[in-house]
Amino acid sequence: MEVNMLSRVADGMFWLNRYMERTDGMLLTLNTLYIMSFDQETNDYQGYKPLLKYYTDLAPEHIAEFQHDTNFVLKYVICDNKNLNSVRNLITKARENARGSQDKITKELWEHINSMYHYINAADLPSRLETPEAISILAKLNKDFLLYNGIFHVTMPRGLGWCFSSIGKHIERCLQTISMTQSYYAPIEYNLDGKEDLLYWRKLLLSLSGYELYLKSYSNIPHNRKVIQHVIFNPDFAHSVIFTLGLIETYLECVFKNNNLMEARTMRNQFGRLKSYIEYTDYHHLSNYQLEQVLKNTKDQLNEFSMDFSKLFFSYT
Amino acid sequence: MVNLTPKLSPKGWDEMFSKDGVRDAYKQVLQTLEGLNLDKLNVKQKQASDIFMNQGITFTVYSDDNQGIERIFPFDIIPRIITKNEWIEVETGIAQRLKALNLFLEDIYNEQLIVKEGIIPASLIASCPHYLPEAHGIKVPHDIHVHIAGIDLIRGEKGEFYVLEDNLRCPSGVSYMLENREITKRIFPEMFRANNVSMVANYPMIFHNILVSLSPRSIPNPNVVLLTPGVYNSAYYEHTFLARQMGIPLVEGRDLVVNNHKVYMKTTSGLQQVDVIYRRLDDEYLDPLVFKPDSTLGVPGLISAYKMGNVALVNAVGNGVADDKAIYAFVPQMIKYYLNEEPILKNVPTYQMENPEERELVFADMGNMVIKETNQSGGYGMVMGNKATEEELEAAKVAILNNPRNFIAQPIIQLSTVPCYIDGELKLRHVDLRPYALCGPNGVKIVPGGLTRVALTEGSLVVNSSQGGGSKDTWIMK
Amino acid sequence: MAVFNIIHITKYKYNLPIKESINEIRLFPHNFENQDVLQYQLSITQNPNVSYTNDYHGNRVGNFNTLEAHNEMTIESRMLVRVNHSLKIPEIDETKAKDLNLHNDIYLLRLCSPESIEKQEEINSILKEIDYENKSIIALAFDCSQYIYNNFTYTKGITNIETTVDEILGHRKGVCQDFAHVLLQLLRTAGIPSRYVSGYICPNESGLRGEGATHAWVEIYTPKQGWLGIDPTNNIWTMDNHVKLSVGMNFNDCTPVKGTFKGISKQTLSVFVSIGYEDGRHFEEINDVELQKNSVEFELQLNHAEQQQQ
Repeated sequence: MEVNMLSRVADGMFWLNRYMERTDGMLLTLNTLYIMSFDQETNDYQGYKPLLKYYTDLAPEHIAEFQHDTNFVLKYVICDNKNLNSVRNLITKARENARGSQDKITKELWEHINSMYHYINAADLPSRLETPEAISILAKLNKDFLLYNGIFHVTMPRGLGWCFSSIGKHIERCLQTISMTQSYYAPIEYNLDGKEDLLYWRKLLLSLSGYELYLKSYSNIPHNRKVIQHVIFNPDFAHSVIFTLGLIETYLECVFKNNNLMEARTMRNQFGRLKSYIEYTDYHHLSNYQLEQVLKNTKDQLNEFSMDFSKLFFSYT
Repeated sequence: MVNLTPKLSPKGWDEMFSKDGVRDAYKQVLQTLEGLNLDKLNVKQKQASDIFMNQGITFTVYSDDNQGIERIFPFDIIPRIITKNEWIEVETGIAQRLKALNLFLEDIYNEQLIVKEGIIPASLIASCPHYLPEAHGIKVPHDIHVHIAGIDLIRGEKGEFYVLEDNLRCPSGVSYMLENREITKRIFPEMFRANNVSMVANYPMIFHNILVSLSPRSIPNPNVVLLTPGVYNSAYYEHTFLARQMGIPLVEGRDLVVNNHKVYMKTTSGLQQVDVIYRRLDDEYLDPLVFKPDSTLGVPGLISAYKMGNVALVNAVGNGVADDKAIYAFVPQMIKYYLNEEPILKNVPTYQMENPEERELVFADMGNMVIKETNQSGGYGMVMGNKATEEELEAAKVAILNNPRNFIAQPIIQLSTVPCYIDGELKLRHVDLRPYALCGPNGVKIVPGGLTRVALTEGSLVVNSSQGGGSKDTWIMK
Repeated sequence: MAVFNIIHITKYKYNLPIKESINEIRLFPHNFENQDVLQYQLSITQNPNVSYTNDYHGNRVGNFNTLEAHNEMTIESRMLVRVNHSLKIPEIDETKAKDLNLHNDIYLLRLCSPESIEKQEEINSILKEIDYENKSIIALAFDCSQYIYNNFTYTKGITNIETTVDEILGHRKGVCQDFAHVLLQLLRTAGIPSRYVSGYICPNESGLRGEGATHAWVEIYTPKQGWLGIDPTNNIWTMDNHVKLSVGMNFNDCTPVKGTFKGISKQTLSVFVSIGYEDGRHFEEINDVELQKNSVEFELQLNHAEQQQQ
């Protein structure tokens, strides 16, 4: 494996994957909530709030105004230029990063990102989202992201670029899982002994691609505690906090292996502490307060780690 | 089976058809085309443009409001063919020219004998904006200043070749030469195989070897990089293409830093020394300490490192003095002076607007002249006398009188034509030819091929991509 | 003959640390017929490795950099220079500009092509007033210098290194470098190869303008006597009080310290020059140099960076 790559290119690949993962997660959440919104009978007091709160910078009063307005949400989240985190803006940013590191990504990957960019920028997309076609547009976008991940896996070389982009991807995924979990536990005050039913948790689980796996895990703990076990601590669940941290650790090792920067060791220790914090949390006896703290602290530490990581490897300006 | 033979225009040279019918070199191609029906041809045409679009092989056109638009460079599916004998003339002619131009640059930035002996007027050099005093006396590896040149050739009414322009700074378009070939292979595999076409695909290898040979450090694997102005540059696709093909890092100015008069790139494991820079950044942006102080695209201190011999720049700094359109007129004299040879390739007659007599001649015959700004390229700053309105011609005269050194004039030459497949028929369109010449310690090497640019508008003589030109695959027959 | 002990200190300060600074300096006195450098010493903060090259005009150029973050940088140059002009005024020489035979000398041709300015007409009419066509190079140079001396007011603080010849012709005020730029425009228009000189002027009893600090004047080319210095600020041919540092087309070619760095920071520059005679008299001057205005965008970033700092 090559021992180094341009800091700017490493930065570009890190952010390419962070943006793509963010968009992927956001679309999954949007898709889940959109499909659920057809189900008139569900007593859904949150509506699109979890989506709007984490993925957009809409003010709380605007979220309250629009959280049940499907038409608005679809357009705002997918193709509104004013929304910095709209799918359109995120894909554009991802493509910029891909362009800047084009000599390190494969032709296949570039062509796919390019075609997604052309699709999301089609002039008639906003009007088509107001028609019944919306559902197939969402499906097409979700498929495109699956394909992106597939092409990435199949064609990209396992070098440093792979490591940096995978670290970016899993930092993003871990933050998503924590944030979405928070947005379903905060309204019930992190009550681990509460009696929310599967319908309540289904949205969270579907948003994280973890519903089926959850159903398959047999145990008779009540949902409120079992969901936490699943999304934070289940080592087999590809979106769980513990799983994503594990992958980050693997790729960090890889980056550090041939690197003799002095700060690398400190960075490794910093991440080790972060991961142990989750690893050694006893989730069977977690209290409501502890849950709130674990989620909050992990998120803060991961953000801090991401900043330090960027400073160490990407400071080229 | 379709009959594609177009009506021949009475004047000018067509490369596929003479007045006696199709020329030998094109027989097989025409036969293949005629053997296909229109639908098949249309499919092939669509296939070609889809490949370009999907690969993002685009260039950016900047208009007055500075909004860049991404466009594909239109590709015509019919190849342009150069026979073996024609190519020999082109190849030896360009090699001779490059040898002389390299000697000229070495001379002009050192002893200036050609000026002292009165062959080229000193005033022409002194007033050339691309003559860089900062480059004076810099010792370049192997005395080579031009490592890569794109020499623009056109053919006159009898098919004779003329050199129109020497591009010695950052010639672009070589990626199209290579990509066009790949596309022809895909859409016409049979036809391609049936003809005996010289290979161009080894261009990146040859160029890479030259780059490596220029390294100031004698180490087995010197670090060679391609310096791009960045993703917003109109030729960014080409930069990524070449970096990939040569397996070298594509860097921007901010990736590089000068420390102790050496150049380094910033990598994830610290600084790494850079030996050779193939830069696609113009001289004036290279180093804000020496040239434009507000340039953020370059590397502060780069010129100092270059002066100390710690890094090689390709092409060398200051080459613009040799492809200035007014100095171009003296290339035949350079060939005689430095090589004691007769020029193999002709120059287009060029009138210096600074010279009052030549200026009067031109003013009296504006309708048959093309006026060019001496320091512009890419089809900008040009007035075609036969197409311009009275007002435009008057404006050109005023501009010339205000700054005569800034302009030259040339008689309009009817470029040769090659048929293009447009709207289901073959139509004659004017073309030029830009072969890419590489110059290393072992001499000049010209890959047998080039970029054929086409003026897609009927009757137009302007082939530049920024002015609506297209391109063709160019076959040099073995 | 005179010997001067000169200390020239350039000090940059940054309110927030900057990195990757790189500088080009032209602080080395010329060694030529009328000037000997007896001693020279250069010291720079953090003692970076300085490379030396010669530029197009033959000036010695130093180049050095500092990668690590830093908050200030001082360049101190100390020199002992002996100046010895045998003549106070040039010998009589009737050569006129039109007699010069420059057609094969690129260097001289560049030095007699005037900058393109809006007020060229004004330059032409000044020359006409002086009757330039009938004068020898030497007489014309002196008359142009005298014209500037009589018609332009020496005023500090209204011009800076960016001031254009058009602006100076407008308000007819300025300092040595402005006067030199106007004189160059006049001489080049008249076809006399001439160049900008940056250096020091060493004070004497007669009270020269621009005293005790860096100074600028002009050199003209004459076929018989070579380069002759003329100082429009004081309306004299250069003499033992002028110590020459570098020459060029204009100020830009002679900038004593030029540099760039990375980082968002406010930069202040102060220049200290002290000149001492052999007998112990000495003169000092400290200038806080006004640097180019920052863009609005830069100011915003700077504010942001300063707030983060607090």
